[in-house]
Amino acid sequence: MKFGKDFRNHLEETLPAWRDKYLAYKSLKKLIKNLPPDGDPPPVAPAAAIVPVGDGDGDGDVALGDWFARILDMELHKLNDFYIEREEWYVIRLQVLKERIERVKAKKNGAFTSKSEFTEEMLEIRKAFVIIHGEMILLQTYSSLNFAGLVKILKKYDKRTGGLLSLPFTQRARHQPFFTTEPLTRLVRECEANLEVLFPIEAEVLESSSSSAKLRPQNDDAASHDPASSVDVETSDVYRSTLAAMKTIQGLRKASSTYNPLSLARFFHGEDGEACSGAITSESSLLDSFSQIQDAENDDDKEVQSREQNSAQNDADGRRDE
Amino acid sequence: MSTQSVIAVKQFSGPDKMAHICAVPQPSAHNLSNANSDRSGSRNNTPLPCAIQSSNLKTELINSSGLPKILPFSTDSNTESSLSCISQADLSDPVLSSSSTFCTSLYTSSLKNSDPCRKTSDLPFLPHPPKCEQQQSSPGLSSSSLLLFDADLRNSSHGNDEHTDFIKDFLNLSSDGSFHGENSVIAYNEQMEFQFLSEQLGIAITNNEESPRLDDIYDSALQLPSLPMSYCSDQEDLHDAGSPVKVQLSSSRSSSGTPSCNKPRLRWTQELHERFVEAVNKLEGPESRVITLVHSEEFDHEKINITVLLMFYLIHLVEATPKSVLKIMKVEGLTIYHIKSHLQKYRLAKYLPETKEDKKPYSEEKKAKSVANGDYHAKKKRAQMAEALRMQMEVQKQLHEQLEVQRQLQLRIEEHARYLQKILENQQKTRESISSMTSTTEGESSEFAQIEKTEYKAETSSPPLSKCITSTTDAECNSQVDNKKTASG
Repeated sequence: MKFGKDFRNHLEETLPAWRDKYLAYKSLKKLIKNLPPDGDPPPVAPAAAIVPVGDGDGDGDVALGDWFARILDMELHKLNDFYIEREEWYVIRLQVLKERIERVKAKKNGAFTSKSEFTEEMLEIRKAFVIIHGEMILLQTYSSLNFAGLVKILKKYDKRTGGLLSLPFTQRARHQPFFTTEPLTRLVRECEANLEVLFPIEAEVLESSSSSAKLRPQNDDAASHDPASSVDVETSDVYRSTLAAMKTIQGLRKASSTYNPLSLARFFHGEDGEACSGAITSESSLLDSFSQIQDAENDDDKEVQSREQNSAQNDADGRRDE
Repeated sequence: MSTQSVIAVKQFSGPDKMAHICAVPQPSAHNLSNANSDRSGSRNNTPLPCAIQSSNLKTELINSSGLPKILPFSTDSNTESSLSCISQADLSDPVLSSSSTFCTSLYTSSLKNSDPCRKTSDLPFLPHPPKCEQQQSSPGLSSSSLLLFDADLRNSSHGNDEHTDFIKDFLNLSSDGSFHGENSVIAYNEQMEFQFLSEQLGIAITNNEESPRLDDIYDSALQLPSLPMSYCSDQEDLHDAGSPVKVQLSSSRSSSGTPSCNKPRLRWTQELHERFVEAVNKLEGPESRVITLVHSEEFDHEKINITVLLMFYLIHLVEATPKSVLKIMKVEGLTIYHIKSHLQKYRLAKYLPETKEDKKPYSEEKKAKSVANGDYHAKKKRAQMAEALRMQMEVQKQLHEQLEVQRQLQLRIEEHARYLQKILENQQKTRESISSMTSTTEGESSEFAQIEKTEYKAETSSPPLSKCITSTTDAECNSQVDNKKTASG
């Protein structure tokens, strides 16, 4: 229930072109709700689904499972297609950007442009890098959220029909292209490395060329600026979506770790931007995973309770921070 | 260079084109078998319940059954023996090979391409035959004939990758025994459709024979050995444009999970893309190709005019075609279809920054301002923007870290689930053995079943291990909360 809301909110705030590319969580949930609780094959196949075939062999359970697995399969294809296509695009864009850097560098060495024009160009490149980085992170969010959604849907299905689709299908989904994000992670790292190598140097050039003392106060001024307002439409779009994604992912983590404030504490540390990854010992994440399973199993009855606990926790932390 | 290409033109206007074409097809048999082994490999890697796979195939069946019924032989030859099937396949082979090579040469002209495409896309709307007929006639083909059919296709080295793959799919399924009859019919119809397609292509080609084959000229100028893949995939490409079977195929394949090259849905890794860029640069990179052409030749005025004409002609050729890129890349399993869409994206991506650089309405305005207000403001603005970008980057990195954590979690859950499944399976086994042992006494066995059931339930709903761990952590956190409260209060 909570997840559905988070998911919907996320869809509203993510990049507009991506909205219809996500898992059709809501309709799938509706579909399950309309299923008869005891595994008879559905009387009329709901919209967007194919009529079940192979009615002759096996009992109704198998047919129903087949039918639902096929619907989920179509969703998987949708996710994979979108994911792979975006990934391809980022591979290309990153390479083009790298070429552009080389070009600019060559230009600079040839004393081709004026100083300001050079920095202007570098700023453009930097912006492009940040945008592509942001979009790649959003694609990872896409991967993660859709997988989470799929797992939830499968659990709901099993619960409703008494089927055993969840285990095999989760394993299947785990090996889908949209959930194998290693290549994308590599791209992200490369993008970050490029930015780090390029822009500290660039900043030095910018500052050393001018009277840095004069620039200092302005820098502070800029720091108080919200990125969404100061930069143009493209970046602010990505920025807004990033913030929304952050909220959603945090929501997921909260929901998953209601019984384990260790991870909650970690999450608050993470927001402070310090030692986020260091805090994750293998032990604590293991506990996490156990507790999430436990949690998901009986989330309905304990959800309210857990949320109360959660908010109490938040209060406690908030007070501590003050 | 120019002379070379001119000669090439002459060569190709001559009749020895067929010879060139015939030389190509040999090595693809290797590819096909490769693809097959690949396929079976991936099958092993994803241990799925048969239900899911078969359901997949069922959808394919539905979609494909409506397709090629208009074909000349499809209805009556279904009832014929398997032997005629094979001979039919044999017959279609020469047509296939020649026409598919032709269509690569047709590739550059979209006009010619669109014609057969349109026709094939009309196919699904043709009337469906009654379903019962299909089922009735299907048992005529035995599984061995299907095997023969497949083997035959593999031997005739110009079968399509996808096609054999498809049949292989069906073969696997038919060994399961469930839908065997229908499958063979479909597979057969597939073959028919290929023939049908190639016939159409043949017609299209003869209609347009006079037009110059730019692609061919260019290729010969490059003097590259051609890959067998290129024409196979070309046909696949054309096929793809029209029929829903193909679409279904591609998606079902991508769902098999393991990344394999012969999937229509290809994952472009960085390495692959680098190779691609290399190939494109090799093809269209140095404009020197044209320039040297002008410099090296000593012509009088008239001839220079001709050279200029030729030059413009060649500029068009210098645009890398999917086919030429494919040949240079030499990556196994890559098809022209993959290259084509990737090339499109690549061009788009390349144009994107340049158009941005060109227009720059924002920075132009800023520049004007900077002139008016002095350097200081421009610098300030730039610093602000840089700062904003830096902040944005920070946020994105944070999200990235959280996502990594989330992903680890998800993977662990999946692992855990797999572990649970293993336990369940083991239990199932023991239950089976127990029930077989105790089947003699009825009351006892039912009792056993009951016990098993409760055990099973306990196992699924809450693993005892996790329960105990969470309860201990619960205690821990409570104490922690208390600590915090006391600290803050």
